[in-house]
Amino acid sequence: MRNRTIVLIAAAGIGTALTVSWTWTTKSRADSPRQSRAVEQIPMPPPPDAASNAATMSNENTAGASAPRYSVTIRTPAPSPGVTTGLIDGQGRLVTVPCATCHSMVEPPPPASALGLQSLKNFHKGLVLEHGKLTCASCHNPEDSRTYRLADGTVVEGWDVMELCSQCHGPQRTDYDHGAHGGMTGYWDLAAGPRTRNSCTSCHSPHEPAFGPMRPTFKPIDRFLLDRDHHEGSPEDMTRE
Amino acid sequence: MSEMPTGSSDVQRRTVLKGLGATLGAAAFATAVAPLRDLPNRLSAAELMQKHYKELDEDDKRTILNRLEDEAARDYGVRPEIRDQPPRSGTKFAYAVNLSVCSGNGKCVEACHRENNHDRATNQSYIRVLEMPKGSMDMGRGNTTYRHGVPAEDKFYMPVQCQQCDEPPCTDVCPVQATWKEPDGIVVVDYNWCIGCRYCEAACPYHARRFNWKKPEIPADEVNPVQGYLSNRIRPQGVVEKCHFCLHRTREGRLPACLEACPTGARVFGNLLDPASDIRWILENKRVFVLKEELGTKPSFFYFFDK
Repeated sequence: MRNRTIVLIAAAGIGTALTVSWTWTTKSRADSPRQSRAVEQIPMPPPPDAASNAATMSNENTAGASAPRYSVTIRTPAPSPGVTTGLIDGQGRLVTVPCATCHSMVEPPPPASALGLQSLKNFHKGLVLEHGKLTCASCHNPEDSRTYRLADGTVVEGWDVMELCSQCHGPQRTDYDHGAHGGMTGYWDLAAGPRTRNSCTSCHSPHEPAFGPMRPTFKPIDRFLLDRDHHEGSPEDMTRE
Repeated sequence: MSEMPTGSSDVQRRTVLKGLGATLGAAAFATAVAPLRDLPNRLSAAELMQKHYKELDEDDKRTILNRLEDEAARDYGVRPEIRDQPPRSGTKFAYAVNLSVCSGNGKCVEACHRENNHDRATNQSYIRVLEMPKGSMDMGRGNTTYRHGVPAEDKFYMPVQCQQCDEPPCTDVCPVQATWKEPDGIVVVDYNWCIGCRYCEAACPYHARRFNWKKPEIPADEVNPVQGYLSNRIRPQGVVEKCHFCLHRTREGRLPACLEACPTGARVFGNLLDPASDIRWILENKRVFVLKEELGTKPSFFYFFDK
């Protein structure tokens, strides 16, 4: 009798534990359907890009030349503010002069003297020309300081320098045309959206086109690498930002 | 007659032992299930019951994405929009990096860090830029901690991230199939299915996988709210993650964040199945190599030189 009682108590104990865990499980099971029902009742707002997605899909389905394609825009460099004079105005700003202020009156020097940059000591102060054997008139149009001039005499209006640079940099232009040179942003898939590409002068200064050195500003912080630096690294490596 | 007392005491002893055993058993059971009582604090019941990504239907996904958005809003103070972008048909993604122009400036590393909601304290990122001695392709000789002006005269720079292998050793070793290769070539991780064993991290010959030692810390104003379930949603602690070619962007046609950030234009991304794509032109016209080709991993990530 006593024997049975103890067994019963133990069984009751286990039973309670099981019931508790069962209740917990069913409760949690019940949670998910309730959540999903709630979701069904409140219709989800369509994602903002749903429309464009649908467009993409239909483009894929219709696939081929008929699919509408977005354009590729080449960044146009901002017009030059002019030439720095080396003077500073009353508010501490560099004084710049639009090209045409002088070039509408002053006859530009012949290319030979410009090559030696003699004239740049008087005008265009601070301008460094490190671009092969080019002179001013190799690119700038001596007739009109607002435009450029190709080697065959064609005048290039505005700031579109792609053709101008491509006269000498053919391989780079070929790479550029196939996306292998020059940065870009936007869409790889032109059926889904437009793309914006850098022009030559987005990255290369026309007067000093060599891509300058940079300092890496973002480094992984890894305790194992820190340890290694501590043992064999230079003092520079050990200074962490 | 003399056996009776022995018998009765024997029965009593057995009864006591049985009772003791049962009590201990019940106590042990209670102790064993005790952690479940603390569970709701760390892990919601819905999360515990969640199925493998591949078994989820649209309703399941909507519920789960909703829950994950709630959790992110609670933990990070910003409610993201988490979506599940499916692979696009007729697309196999590939990446190429021009080592002739890569200068090791590390802007891609930083862009990845911000785009993919990495832990701020560790500067975590899916990309490492190795500074390599010229004339060597041995990753072991690369250094990631250089801080001098770049590019250095006798060095070249090689960014390494997930190579999205066609024969990925990392997915083979996963004991729970929490990581797999998608039809568009991207190797993904179901962060809610990963058990954090890190076998995949050990199996990857490119050191491309990262482990979340702790819950990522990101200030609310730095959280990127445009997120994908298999990509840049904020990962839980104790799971493995990796580069996913920014699938939340690229599956919608956009370029990856690291490519857009590159100031030298060294990165090229596109669809390998499109004969007119930039990436195909590079493979056909440039001097191209893959990293650790001898391992037979068949990467979808290529390196090339201008000449």
